[in-house]
Amino acid sequence: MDDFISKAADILECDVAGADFAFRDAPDWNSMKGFALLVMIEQDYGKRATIEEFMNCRTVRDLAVLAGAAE
Amino acid sequence: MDGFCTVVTGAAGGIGSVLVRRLAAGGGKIVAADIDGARLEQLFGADGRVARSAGDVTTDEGFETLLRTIADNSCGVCGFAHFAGFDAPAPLALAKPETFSALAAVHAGFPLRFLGWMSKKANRVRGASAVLVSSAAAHGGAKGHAAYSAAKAAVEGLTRAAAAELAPYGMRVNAVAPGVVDTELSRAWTGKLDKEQLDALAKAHPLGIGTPDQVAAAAAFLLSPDASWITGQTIVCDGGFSL
Ligand SMILES: NC(=O)c1ccc[n+]([C@@H]2O[C@H](COP(=O)([O-])OP(=O)(O)OC[C@H]3O[C@@H](n4cnc5c(N)ncnc54)[C@H](O)[C@@H]3O)[C@@H](O)[C@H]2O)c1
Repeated sequence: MDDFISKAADILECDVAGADFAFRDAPDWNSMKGFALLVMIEQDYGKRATIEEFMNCRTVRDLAVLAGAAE
Repeated sequence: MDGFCTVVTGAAGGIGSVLVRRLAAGGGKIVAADIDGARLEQLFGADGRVARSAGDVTTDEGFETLLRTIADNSCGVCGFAHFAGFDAPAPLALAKPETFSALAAVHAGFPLRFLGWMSKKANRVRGASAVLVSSAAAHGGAKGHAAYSAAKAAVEGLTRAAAAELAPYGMRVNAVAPGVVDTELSRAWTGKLDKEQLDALAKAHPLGIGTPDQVAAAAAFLLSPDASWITGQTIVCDGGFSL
């Protein structure tokens, strides 16, 4: 999970205090950052998520679950 | 051995498969190449006018298989349409050099090699025409497609240089640069867009998102003798995206 949080923080360009961070609240949030999160999940975790699955995510933990990286 | 053939790569794909059908319906002999051999068989296994070459065209093995299929089924190549390819969208920060190498290999490296083969004395056919495929992404600054855009820009440079070298032999080389066309390739990334982004994409194409037929028609024209005075050009075929 730490590794996933650090990758998400890199994309969001802000401190991510923990898995409960609501990623769309990141300063300068935009759709390109959303796209980057989806690409990271696909490249690093081999999971091709649908836009619906992504839209249902609110926190970094939700994203990690989607990626299969939450334990 | 029949007469001359037209080689279509990416023949199991959205645009390539439509082009094969179109050319075959016009009475031509086609060599259809694709890495997806099962799909090639499914699409064209029953069509006697279409010889199939299954393999990765960027590898020596795939290239040799293609040359063998051409030799077994025709006396030479009078047309070449290169529609094999893929996209690997990623924002710049996640773009990888090895992904660019793979994109460049299929979009520009293979046609460079194949046009080199066509240019050799034994393989030259006066009146032959080649059509490569660029993309609106090479022109418009497509966010999230940097590696793909760079590979497609290489295609346009190749088109002009090869056209200049081959014109003295009466051979032509052109490219088409499509906007977004509804195929597996585009669906792989439009599937990552939300509704707002999808609406914006549709709006950016005043004549609508493209169909494989619309691009295949442009390619078929460039392959045909109707385009006998056109070479070294990239024909933008994008439903008004670039306006
Ligand atoms: N669809 C679009 O929106 C669009 C827009 C601009 C340009 N293009 C270009 O048009 C071409 C065809 O795209 P499409 O939309 O029909 O895609 P597609 O995914 O439907 O078809 C591409 C085909 O190429 C084959 N292929 C990929 N790599 C190969 C390899 N190494 N060797 C042999 N075959 C290989 C695939 O198996 C597939 O059948 C591509 O070059 C693409 O970049 C497409």
